[in-house]
Amino acid sequence: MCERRHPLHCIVPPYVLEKLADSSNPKTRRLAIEAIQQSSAAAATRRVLSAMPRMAATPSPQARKHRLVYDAKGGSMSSLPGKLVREEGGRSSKDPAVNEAYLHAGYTYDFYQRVFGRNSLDDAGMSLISSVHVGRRLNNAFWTGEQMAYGDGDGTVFIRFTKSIDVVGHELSHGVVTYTCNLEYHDEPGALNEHFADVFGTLVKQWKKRQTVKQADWLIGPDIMGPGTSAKALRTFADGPAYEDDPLLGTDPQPKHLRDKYTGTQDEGGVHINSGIPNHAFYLAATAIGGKAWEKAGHIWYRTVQALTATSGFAEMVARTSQEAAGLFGPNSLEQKAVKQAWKGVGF
Amino acid sequence: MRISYREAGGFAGLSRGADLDLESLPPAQAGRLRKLVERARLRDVETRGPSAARDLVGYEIAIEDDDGRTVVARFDDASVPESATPLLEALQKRARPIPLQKPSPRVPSAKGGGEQRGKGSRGRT
Repeated sequence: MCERRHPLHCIVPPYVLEKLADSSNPKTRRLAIEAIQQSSAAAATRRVLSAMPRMAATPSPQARKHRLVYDAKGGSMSSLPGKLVREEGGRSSKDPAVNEAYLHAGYTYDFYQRVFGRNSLDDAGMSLISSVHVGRRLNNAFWTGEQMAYGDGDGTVFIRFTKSIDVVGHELSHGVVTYTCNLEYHDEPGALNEHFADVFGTLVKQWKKRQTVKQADWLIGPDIMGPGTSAKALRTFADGPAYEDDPLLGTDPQPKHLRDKYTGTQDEGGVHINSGIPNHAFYLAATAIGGKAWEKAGHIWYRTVQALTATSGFAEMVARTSQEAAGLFGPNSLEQKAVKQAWKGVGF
Repeated sequence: MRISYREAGGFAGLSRGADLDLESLPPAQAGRLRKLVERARLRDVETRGPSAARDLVGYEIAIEDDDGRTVVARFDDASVPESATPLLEALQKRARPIPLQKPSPRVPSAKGGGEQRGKGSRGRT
């Protein structure tokens, strides 16, 4: 166990780690939390931690929009967050990745605040921490449990991941899921976790652009695709695949119907694959309701993410969205019918 | 020496990989890869990042040496062993799409022996 990279690992007793996990220093807190998560001696603490994600939140000075952008300078996870390069209200950088992470995180905060009345990811004003230039030519962006981490892409398949507002919205929405129903990250609950991240990620974009359901592109990641691929995006909520027979990406594996659900073990049981089924249902519901997707369908889904539990699967999702639609717009309302019809359209 | 590389998941949700038989590569390339494998000092371990993390890419590198011994190392974006970074980068450049496999009734290959892996039996179409 002691070969790992963490200085706190193995030498600090669990109760001290818990204390450190409450530290006001982000680096200390992160190291402590990771050590807890990796320590076999701290299994109980780890269970507590996963049940109490709030421990990992960085409180912001005034409990309102507060962005911090760090430069990881090619460092790995163990070097996060990196060097602070832009903070709330600070001057813009010469580095586009820094400015994109800052602006897109701001739009995401504004979206949640103005549309749903939510104050940051934890609804208690936690700081939005982003690190850019994570890893070397990393073809990925991820949520660490506490902050966003963005790779630069290899310049062929992908370019920098901060460039797409929906990618940033997706990563931050993983934070919102963490602080609401905290869906487990495997199989159907995991696919729903990915689904909510995609839904709110794309709604941030549509809201920012003031697009109706007809004007929206319903794509995830169109701005991060590199010059080596002709794929227009990574995922689409609409019918059909986002890409096909691409030499670098292959064919979009997302199903749009329950009968095509992936049942293998790859990708934690297909969390980024099977999210295609609820994604398409959201698209069908939102387009049937019409207007702007965040105004009605978005509210149904936002209520649902707060109502589900960590182990909820597709069946619960189907029932709950219908129930929330009835609660918001009335039983047998056009909206509830649209939601029911949408799930029927993907096999439920 | 044979190298089997797989990557799956991540924000992009791609499934990619490469199966390399160093015998069939130009000697210079094979030599470079052999050096990177030595430097990587891979062991039969699976390391994972924080359980609260989302969208991490999962990596798997299986090496079958000339004596038929196999080592399988699995890690993710948050737990890449520093020593393996150069090898990982070299393999990523060679990665190509691998269509998803329907699960077979057999024991999943992730828990299977190294021999099947070394032959690159997974992920072929």
